[in-house]
Amino acid sequence: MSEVTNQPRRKSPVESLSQESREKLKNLNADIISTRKIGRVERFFGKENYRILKGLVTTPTSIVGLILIAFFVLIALAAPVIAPPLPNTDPYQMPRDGYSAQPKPPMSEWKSDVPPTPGWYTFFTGKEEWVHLMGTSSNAYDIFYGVIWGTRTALKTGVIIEFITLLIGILVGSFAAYYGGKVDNIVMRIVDIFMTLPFLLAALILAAVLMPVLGRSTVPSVIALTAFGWMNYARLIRGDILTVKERDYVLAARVIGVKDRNILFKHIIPNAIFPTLVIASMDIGTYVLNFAALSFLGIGTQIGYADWGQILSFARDWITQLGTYWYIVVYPGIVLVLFVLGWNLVGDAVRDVMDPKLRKLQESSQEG
Amino acid sequence: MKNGEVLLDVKELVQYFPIRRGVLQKVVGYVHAVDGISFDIKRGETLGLVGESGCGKTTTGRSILQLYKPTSGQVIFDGMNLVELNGKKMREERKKIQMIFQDPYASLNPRMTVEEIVGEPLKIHKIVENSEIRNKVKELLELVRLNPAYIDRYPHEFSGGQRQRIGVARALALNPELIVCDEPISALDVSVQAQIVNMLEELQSEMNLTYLFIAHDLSVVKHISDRVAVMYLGVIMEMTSRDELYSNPLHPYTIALLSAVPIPDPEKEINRKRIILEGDVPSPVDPPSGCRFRTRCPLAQEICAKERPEFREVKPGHFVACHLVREITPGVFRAEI
Ligand SMILES: Nc1ncnc2c1ncn2[C@@H]1O[C@H](COP(=O)(O)OP(=O)(O)O)[C@@H](O)[C@H]1O
Ligand code: SF4
Ligand SMILES: [Mg+2]
Repeated sequence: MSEVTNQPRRKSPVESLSQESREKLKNLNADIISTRKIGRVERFFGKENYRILKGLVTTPTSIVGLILIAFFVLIALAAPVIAPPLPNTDPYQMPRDGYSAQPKPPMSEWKSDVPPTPGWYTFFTGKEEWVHLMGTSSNAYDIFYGVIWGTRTALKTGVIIEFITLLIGILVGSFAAYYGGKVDNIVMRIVDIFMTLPFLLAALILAAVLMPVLGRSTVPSVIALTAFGWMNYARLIRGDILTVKERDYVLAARVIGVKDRNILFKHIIPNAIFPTLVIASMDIGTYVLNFAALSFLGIGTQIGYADWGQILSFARDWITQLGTYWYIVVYPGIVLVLFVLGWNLVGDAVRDVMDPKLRKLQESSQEG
Repeated sequence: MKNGEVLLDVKELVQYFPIRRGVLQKVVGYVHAVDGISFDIKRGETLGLVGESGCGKTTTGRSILQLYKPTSGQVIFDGMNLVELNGKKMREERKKIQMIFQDPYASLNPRMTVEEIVGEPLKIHKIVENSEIRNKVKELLELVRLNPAYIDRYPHEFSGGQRQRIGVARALALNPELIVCDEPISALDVSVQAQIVNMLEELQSEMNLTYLFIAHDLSVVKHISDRVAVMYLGVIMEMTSRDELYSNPLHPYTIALLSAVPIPDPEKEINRKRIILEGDVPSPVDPPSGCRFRTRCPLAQEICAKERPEFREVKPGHFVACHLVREITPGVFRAEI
């Protein structure tokens, strides 16, 4: 229960009215105009955000994208069922069938250290013996296993990178917008400098520096990609906060005596953050692609970790014979492309719904 | 305090906005939004503040509420100079001065329900127990003629007029003494404008409110004001009682504004002196020297560019800032060359 300040209580407006005029007011309620009917979802998200969400689930390309994403999420969730790991081993370590450097083609027999045969395989083929569905890469790693468990790696690293990047971006952007003036100017110049760096090259260098220190794992790539990825979000949120800051309801909050910090957290950020959140979440595909690129270049997880980029990197040893060993590239390549495509389709739709005018402008200026 | 005593006394209020450029945000100039205005408002009275768009009306209202820190001058409310109050004391005083905004679509937080919007001031100033807020909000909604059943709705579910009522309810929640109404009906449908004005008038007499009522044309304030101040480019040009202003305007700018207001009486319509305004309001970044109105004034003389006309009381209660206004014959004043 809140305390009520002990100054003499002022009469409430209604109390101060005569009975007669109260009655009069009641009658005047008749002039109420009927309000627009609004669903619960729209009420929860607010009009503008609802429009964006609605656009997401009604644009055809976006629907295709969402289906692709849902497909990968399902694969990631069901990985232990689709490709059961060897008992008592790290499931993210791809099982290997011996030590042969020579890749084996799809459907070839599994010889040693065979993981449990998945139930679905037996169900469809009636066979008990597990095979290399997509063949093996150099050093006899099972490609199918890597592709399935690599989906988990992709989603996990994608989400983590996105989350940290977004957090940094939002903190920096809000800080700049909130303090404004010189602070804003300096922070945004730093952002500009970061933006001029070629993203992947900068991340590559940083990850290469970090790897000897931190060891082989997903961590160096995650740090490197985060370090050079936050600037766009900082810009976005800053712009939106600056716009929202000028809205009358923020002034109204000051007029009724809301403290500055509460204005920021209750009135400004909730109204500014949604577009940044949506745009950012659609960048997961790009982060996964970049993560795979670093992996391909040999920076990242330990050898044998289930990770699309790494499987692709095995192809480097067979670059002259890819006609024969096409399966090392094609299977992980296809999943990576589909994964990125899914996010990009949704991302494009989001940007379209959010700002169709700006988008058209950009396109025409690129053409012209 | 009784009605008729001065509630708000604004003295030589100046509000400049610095224009900043470059990386170091150097100040390269100022927007002279409000440039030395003085007026008072008596308790229970409505002062209309009129002028074309961009002449500093909104800024005046906001500076009074200390939403901007005034460049100089005093804002004395109920005997206290608001300009000198610190943040905490000012937050206390805010209870007594509230504001109604021009754009009802922008002045309500879209992520908050009516209960949260109208209840927020009650919560912050601990006007009632938290458990009582909902009831109190319902009372306030009734007060502004809104159905209390709408208490859980969001702003975008309402029409413009209804939103404005929510804004009024929020302003009334703290039982204020003065309300700055910043063009409260300009953004509304003509059909609901009268409803809102009538409601504001009724609320005023019910709750003994004092209004600073801002509008961009003279027809709106004619209905509601006791006195009217006419503003141009950050300066008050003329101020007097409503009847005097409409029947006997002295300043060329006031006459120009009135020329745009149709008069129902056809005979008067033909005979009245008209000044048709041409061009736009000059930029407040570099306002004209001397009299601010001289670039558009048909009577402008040499002196008008040199000296800023004093805001003087030519007749009891009738203030005007024009070099040429003088008593032509005893009791008859006019701006004449
Ligand atoms: N916060 C601000 N910063 C800079 N200039 C402003 C600001 N607010 C208003 N102005 C400028 O001050 C002048 C007066 O504006 P305003 O008070 O809104 O006029 P009105 O309400 O009479 O239309 C305008 O030129 C406007 O651009
Ligand atoms: S002072 Fe001069 S320019 Fe200004 S209104 Fe009077 S006559 Fe016109
Ligand atoms: Mg205005």
